[in-house]
Amino acid sequence: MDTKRIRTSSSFSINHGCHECSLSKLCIPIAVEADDIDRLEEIIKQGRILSRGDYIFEQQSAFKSCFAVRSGAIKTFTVSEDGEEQVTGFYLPGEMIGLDSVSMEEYSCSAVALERTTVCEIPLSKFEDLATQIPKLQHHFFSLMSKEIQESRQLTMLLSKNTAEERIASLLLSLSSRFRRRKLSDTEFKLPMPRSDIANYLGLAVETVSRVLTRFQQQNLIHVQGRDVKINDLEGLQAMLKDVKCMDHKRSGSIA
Amino acid sequence: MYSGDQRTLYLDEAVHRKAFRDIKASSCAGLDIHAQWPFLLNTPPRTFLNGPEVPLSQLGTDNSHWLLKECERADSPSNLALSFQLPGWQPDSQNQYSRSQIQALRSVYQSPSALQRYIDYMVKEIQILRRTLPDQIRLTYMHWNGDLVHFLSESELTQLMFFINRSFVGINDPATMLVSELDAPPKSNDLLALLVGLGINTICINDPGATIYSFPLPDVKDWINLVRDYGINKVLLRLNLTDELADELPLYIEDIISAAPDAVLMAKTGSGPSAREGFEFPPVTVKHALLKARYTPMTDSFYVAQGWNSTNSHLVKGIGLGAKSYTTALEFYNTCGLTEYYQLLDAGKLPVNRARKLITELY
Repeated sequence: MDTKRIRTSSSFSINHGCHECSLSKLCIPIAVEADDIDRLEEIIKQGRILSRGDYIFEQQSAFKSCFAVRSGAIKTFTVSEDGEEQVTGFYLPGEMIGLDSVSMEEYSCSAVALERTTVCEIPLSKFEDLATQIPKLQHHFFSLMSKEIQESRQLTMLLSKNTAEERIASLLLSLSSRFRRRKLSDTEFKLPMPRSDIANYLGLAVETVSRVLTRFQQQNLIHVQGRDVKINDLEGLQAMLKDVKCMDHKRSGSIA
Repeated sequence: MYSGDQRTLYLDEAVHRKAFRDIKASSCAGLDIHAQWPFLLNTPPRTFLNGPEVPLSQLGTDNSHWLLKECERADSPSNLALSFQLPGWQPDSQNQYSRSQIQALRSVYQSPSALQRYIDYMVKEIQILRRTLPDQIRLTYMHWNGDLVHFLSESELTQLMFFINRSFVGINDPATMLVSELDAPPKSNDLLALLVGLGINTICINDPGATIYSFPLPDVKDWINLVRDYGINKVLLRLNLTDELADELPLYIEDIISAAPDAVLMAKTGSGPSAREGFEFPPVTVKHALLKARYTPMTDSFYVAQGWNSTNSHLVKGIGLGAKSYTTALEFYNTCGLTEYYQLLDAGKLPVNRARKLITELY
């Protein structure tokens, strides 16, 4: 009598392969046929766990891999010669970091875990070899890269042209849409970063961030308690982004 | 190379046009060679005196070393200019960029994946070129034609720039000109964000008002300002002076000038005089408005002042089906046959199928 091999796996296992990963529809496997996911799993190093404050990579270290966020949250930042830290992005599960350094020899920024985080490491040289064999994978990779590039430039535009209210509204909408992508609530979520990081990222003073959030609360646009945010009036927040240059933010809140 | 440090007005005058009556790039039907940006922005010779066609066997195109030898003969240029285009096609200009034309173009390649294949082969051409040329050559100019920017997806544009960046040094040099044409308003601001993020530092807005899909003349000023807001260093403008536009353009020229495009290229489709009686090219009011705003005519003295002379030699290499390339001594074309294009690249050769010797008079 044939016996089937029964494969058990805990739903809490961090070593889920790409097949079982709940983020497979957001992450790299979306570009790969079921038959090829095994080939993808062979090159991806899964389940690296990081505590809050742990580095995924450091600025100017040799570039080797991109990383997919599996759980938790990551911030990227650069450090100037004066030692000043500049936050350059926040990354949530299903998103990739390191894409901005792909054509360089070194990482252009550092990446650190904002909370307990797991990542999947994608060594670029092996990934490129596989991508030449799976055209959809290559296309998806460049699609991710182009999105990263666009969002970086849109952020630059946002910071150069918009008020504090518009910047914070844009960030809240961005987070909202990213939670929505993961089939989570887009109106109730926890901010993965402290206000100081938000301020640094948006080029504002911490006090300004707190004041604007309070103002939004008084206008009944949001309710904030600590890091917990509840968006009461999503359309009201979107209406704040009136500038035609930010039309895409209005639609999808697309800054990183 | 044009430095863009001064405002210029390029008049498509007879002194430039008469020698080029027979030269028409396949992707710019009807436009004089000088109305094409890669030519204008890269050491344009005063005159090409066309010699006979050179048999490819004489060039020794069995391998790609002939290009290296030609480069050595042409004063060993250390500067490389690349120009990228989709296959030349002859659309009905009034239907340019309509959905049906996009579908027709894609159907030429049989499927969207066939377009991706074409891009993969352009990448192959870049890589063969890189292996052929001396190590010290630097990319000082890169040009994306308007059709490329509008037909390729964001992923495909990113792929192309990724491999250009990988293949040549110089792309991150602030002095390198990375140019993209825009023939029509971008579908969304994301395209502008992407172009800037990929390193494009010069945008050419082409032929506003020429077709229903072109930049509307009343909106040109806003578009120039928006492009600049995204951080583009230079915005150049090409005005294709059809008879219809000659009536409308004077109404908007002051507005356009107030946005201060860094250069204005005035061109006229076709080689014959206007059919309209009494038409003066370019329209007097437009010319006067530009001169009043201190745009400088690009005549011989302009080129001399730029320091262009026979020792400034570039290799200008066109990439893609039917693309045109030149050194100071040779003009050569890629094959226009898609199958042959792929076959030559698969064999590791540059996909050139005809060449002509030139005697160029440079400034």
